Amino acid sequence: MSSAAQAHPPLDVEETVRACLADVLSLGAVRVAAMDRDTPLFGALPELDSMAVAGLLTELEDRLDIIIDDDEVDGDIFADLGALIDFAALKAGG
Amino acid sequence: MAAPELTLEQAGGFTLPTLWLRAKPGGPLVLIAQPLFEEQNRCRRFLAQLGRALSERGIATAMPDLPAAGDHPDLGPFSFAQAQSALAAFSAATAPALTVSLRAGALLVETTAPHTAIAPIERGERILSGLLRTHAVMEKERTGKPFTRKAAEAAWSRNETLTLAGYPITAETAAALTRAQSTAGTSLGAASLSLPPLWNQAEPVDAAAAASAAADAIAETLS
Repeated sequence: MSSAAQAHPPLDVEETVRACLADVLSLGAVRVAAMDRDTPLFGALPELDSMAVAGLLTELEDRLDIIIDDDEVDGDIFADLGALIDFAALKAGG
Repeated sequence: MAAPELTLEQAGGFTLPTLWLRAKPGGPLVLIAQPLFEEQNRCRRFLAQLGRALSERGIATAMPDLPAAGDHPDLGPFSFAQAQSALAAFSAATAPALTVSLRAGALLVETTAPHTAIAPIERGERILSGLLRTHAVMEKERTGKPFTRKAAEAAWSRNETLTLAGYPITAETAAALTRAQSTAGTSLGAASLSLPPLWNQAEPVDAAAAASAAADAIAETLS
């Protein structure tokens, strides 16, 4: 991953990640809008259990038209919102 | 509006529990092809709302439960090929004006049938990888060990049946899903209907507005 991609993920990828979180976890747009890149996800959001992780990855694949290899998935990408956005941007070629 | 009626329909050697919503006499009939596996449960309320919205537009619906799915008495394992045959037999027996599928239901519909697909899964591989992923996440949590696609394929090559996310998947159905592709005439994407991803939601939200938008599009196709 280039540092440029990390610093400036495309806005549409970030919006898509936020929309997926809102929709899959039924969080509501207001709660997701209040999150920033440092907001912790896995372990901090009770809605994000292991089943929801699978649904969230599948939804990201559908909306970003990407394939996520399960070998690439570890706890780190769900550490906080910024990590998830960067992972999605990398997969989407952003 | 007519109340839903549950009947047992005989078609091509299959007995299918079928939910009917009648509309005006002589009006068109729409056959509903439901999603597969857990997505069928998660989308059930949406399909009830869609049936109701179609009925209000003078369109009747028939929604069969295919072998080893929903209320069908066959306890399984689910066979993709058998579900396809049963849907085709039901379609031949009832001659619907249109088949409307949701998600993986699109994979079951015959290529020659007039077909509108809502939020279709276009390749069966997607549903198989979703099942494998859910299973892998749960196995990791349960045992601390990864479960790989390779391990699943090895089991299927030995003709074993794997239970993935609660659903027994035979080698035959895994192979059929890997090959399956949808060929819908018309596709209504989730975004175009403002349909939330009910099939991935832990807590499905109300989607009556999306059901109404889908019913409008289907009514236009039939007019």
